[in-house]
Amino acid sequence: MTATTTRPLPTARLLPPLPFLLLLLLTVLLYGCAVTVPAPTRPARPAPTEISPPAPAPPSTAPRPVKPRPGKVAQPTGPAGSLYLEAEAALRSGNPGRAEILIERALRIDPGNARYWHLLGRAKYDQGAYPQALQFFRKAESRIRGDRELAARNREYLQAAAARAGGQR
Amino acid sequence: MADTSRRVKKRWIVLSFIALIITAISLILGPRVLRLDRMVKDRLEGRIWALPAEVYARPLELYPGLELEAQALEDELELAGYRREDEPAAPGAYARRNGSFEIVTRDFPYPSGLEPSTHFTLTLAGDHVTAITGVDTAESISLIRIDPARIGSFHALEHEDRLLLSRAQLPEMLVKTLLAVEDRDFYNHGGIAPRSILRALVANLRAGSTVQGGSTLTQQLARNFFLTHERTLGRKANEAIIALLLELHYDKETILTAYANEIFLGQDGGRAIHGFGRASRFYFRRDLADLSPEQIALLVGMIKGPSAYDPRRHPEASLQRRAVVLAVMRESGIIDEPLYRQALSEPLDHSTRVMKGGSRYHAFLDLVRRELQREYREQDLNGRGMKILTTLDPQAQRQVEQQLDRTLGAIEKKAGVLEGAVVITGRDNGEILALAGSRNPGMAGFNRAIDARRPIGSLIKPAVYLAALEQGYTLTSPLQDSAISIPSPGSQTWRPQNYDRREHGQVPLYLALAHSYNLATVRLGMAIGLDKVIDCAKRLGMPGNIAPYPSFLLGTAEMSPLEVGQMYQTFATGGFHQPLRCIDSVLDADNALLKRYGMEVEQRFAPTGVFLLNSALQQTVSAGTARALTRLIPATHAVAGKTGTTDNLRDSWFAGYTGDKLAVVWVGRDDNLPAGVTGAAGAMIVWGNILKDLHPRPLELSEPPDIEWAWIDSRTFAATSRRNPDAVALPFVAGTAPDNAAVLPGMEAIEEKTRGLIDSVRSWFE
Repeated sequence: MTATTTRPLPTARLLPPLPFLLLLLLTVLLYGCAVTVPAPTRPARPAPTEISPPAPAPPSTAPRPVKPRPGKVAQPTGPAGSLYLEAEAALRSGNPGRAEILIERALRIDPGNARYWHLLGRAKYDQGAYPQALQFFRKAESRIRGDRELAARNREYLQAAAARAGGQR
Repeated sequence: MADTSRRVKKRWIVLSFIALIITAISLILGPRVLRLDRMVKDRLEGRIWALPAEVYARPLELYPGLELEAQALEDELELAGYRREDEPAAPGAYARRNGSFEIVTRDFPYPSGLEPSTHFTLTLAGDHVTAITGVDTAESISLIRIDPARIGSFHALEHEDRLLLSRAQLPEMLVKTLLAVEDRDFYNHGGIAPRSILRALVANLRAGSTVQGGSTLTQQLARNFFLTHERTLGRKANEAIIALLLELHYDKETILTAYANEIFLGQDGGRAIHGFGRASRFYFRRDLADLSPEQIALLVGMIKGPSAYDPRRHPEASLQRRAVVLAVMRESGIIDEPLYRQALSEPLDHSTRVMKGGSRYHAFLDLVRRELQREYREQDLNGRGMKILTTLDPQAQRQVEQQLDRTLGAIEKKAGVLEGAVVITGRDNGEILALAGSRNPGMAGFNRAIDARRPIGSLIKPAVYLAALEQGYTLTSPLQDSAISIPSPGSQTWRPQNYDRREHGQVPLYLALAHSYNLATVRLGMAIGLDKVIDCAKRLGMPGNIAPYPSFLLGTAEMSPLEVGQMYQTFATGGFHQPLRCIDSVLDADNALLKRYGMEVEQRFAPTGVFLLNSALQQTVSAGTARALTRLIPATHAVAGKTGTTDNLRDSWFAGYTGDKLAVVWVGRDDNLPAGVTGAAGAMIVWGNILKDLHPRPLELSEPPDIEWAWIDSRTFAATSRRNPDAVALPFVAGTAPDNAAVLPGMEAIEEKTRGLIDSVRSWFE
């Protein structure tokens, strides 16, 4: 996955999910052939009040405060890539405050980058600000698109931050 | 013997006489000296060392790929006080050549540390930065920032503008020239120099007019500092006493520094230019340290008469005076003969464009000051020489100022003079990029962006619909847009109406929002419960206590544009509450970080509900009340937004966001009479005109994983084929799409990309 603001070429984006796309294409195609006339005389849908609200997710069992691994991350590219690397280095050398300043600058340039939000979460995590770290991991989660490695690591951190934030709130 | 005793007696008489005179003088002058002494201490310590807080805009980040017009870059440089030169070498200079810039930045203290001056070239092509290269290293630079423009200062004294320097910051050439011209005995006299006075007296008598001043620097400081400009003997005496007291209390270097910061050197409109630091910026657009010998000569020469030797108004007199000072510099050995000749031949290179001393950003500075006052006392704000780094984006601010006034002028009808307010923030970081509290940016006054609380009308509706989506409604849930009356105990029955005074029957939820139907909204809000809607509005960031009246559903709540911005930020971020910020950090006079206002987020809504709502707000622009916006910003940008109009067209609102910016615009009248424009005809046009020139990024919503898309007939709001001309693709939480809908699992993007392919394949079968 790329971490730049420039968008990848459509073809590049299409290549990985090609088998899936072909399947999708087939489905749509078949469907398109089968149903050519919409059904305008559909009966009215049930009154909205009858729609039961989605059941709230069961309270997750308190996650054990696992020790998340920083792990290796794909080299980010793009204008703020150097800031990311600098921030990561600051984090490794035990200077999360500096990492925070650097990564916020990176986010100003490339705000959609989930990797940056994740690193901001880690900067907060390393400063012991677990509730805020948790929020940044959530933000990162909302921005992750397809990067499974990042998603897994972010999840790990998110759970650890949630466990630690419990006592801080 | 007799002789000796007579001598002793005589000595006694003389001593007694002297003692008597001293006692008399002490008795007469004592109280005055004590009074002046207190004044000297109070004023000097309370004033010279009261450094104003300097406020800076955000630094401009430059990197290859950045969308940037050459003119915008030049404007930024000019605003930051850069001077245009043919061969820039010293910090704070730039050259603009065909399609490229050569820039030498200045050192600047950022929260992450001091960033040293950098000399680089920047190439532009087709409004994009294509390359940045270091001049000395010839290496390409991936990211660099221009030290930010100073946009204002908080100073205890109005109408004065100064930039205070320490003794170490005063260039030696300036100090030597100053002493050679104004006070050769500075380091030897005790505040007043009787010999100088005599010498001046003789010279003046000989010439028949005042050709030489006898005042020491200390006396001049005393004069410039404390007293009015009357010329009386009493004042001369006070001046002398103060000079002596200054010398008594402070060392020479302190007095010299005070003088350099205090001396009056001209007038910039209503602001007096005090001190060499500010004068250097004002006349030459450079820092004092970067001045050439002839520029130093010009400034020192101006002390004699800032108005008479003003290089802009009296270039001839200014040049003559400069030559006199240069001659003194040569005689004193400050410059050698070749340098003297070269300096003498230099033309007056003062910047022809007057740099305004930062009085333009009233609304924004007002907000910054209010924020700071929560944490700092007034005297700290004015006195500690703090540097306040803010989030202001000068390009966005200029666009706001130009377009607000221009557009209001174009849409004004007979109704009278319209006013307006604008807030622009970064969509993902909540930084306030621009703020207008009035259509006249030059006027400090009522800050409508912060202080004008007006009913928000339909801007409340997204809160109602989001509450419904949270309750399990879908974008196609059918709503009844028909008359409703709600009895309220103790007052009249409430009978809301649609804007077009018609009923629209059964409508799908997303269209009821897109078309801003009042009746459907009230019915929806009452069905899910006012408490749910109010809770949703509060989580979105609506401040204050909200009375649970049904009319709340149609936006009777009063909010300022800034508060609306805070609320809509929660939509724009995908459900994360994010406090809006105008300050990035505060540094002290020694550039140490005092406080950082870091980013904060708090997830307040599940991503799915907000995603559905944001999709509906995109429909508002593509097919609803804000359709006309696509004339200003292409439909492909998929802007999300909402119009708002209040009773009798009193208030016209638009709130919306692109991929990178959120903006809220209010248009109305100060006297609360009808403004005569709807949200779409007023505020939305202002919004579009501002955003269209700010290179808005297209809005791509972050799609949660449990979203699927289905084709819906926009008239029957049932599932349909995508070949139906009325078909619209809408997102649903997995499992909630209408029956029989061909569900496309997620990623509208993929769907879009395959469309062309599908069409061509389909064409083979037809």
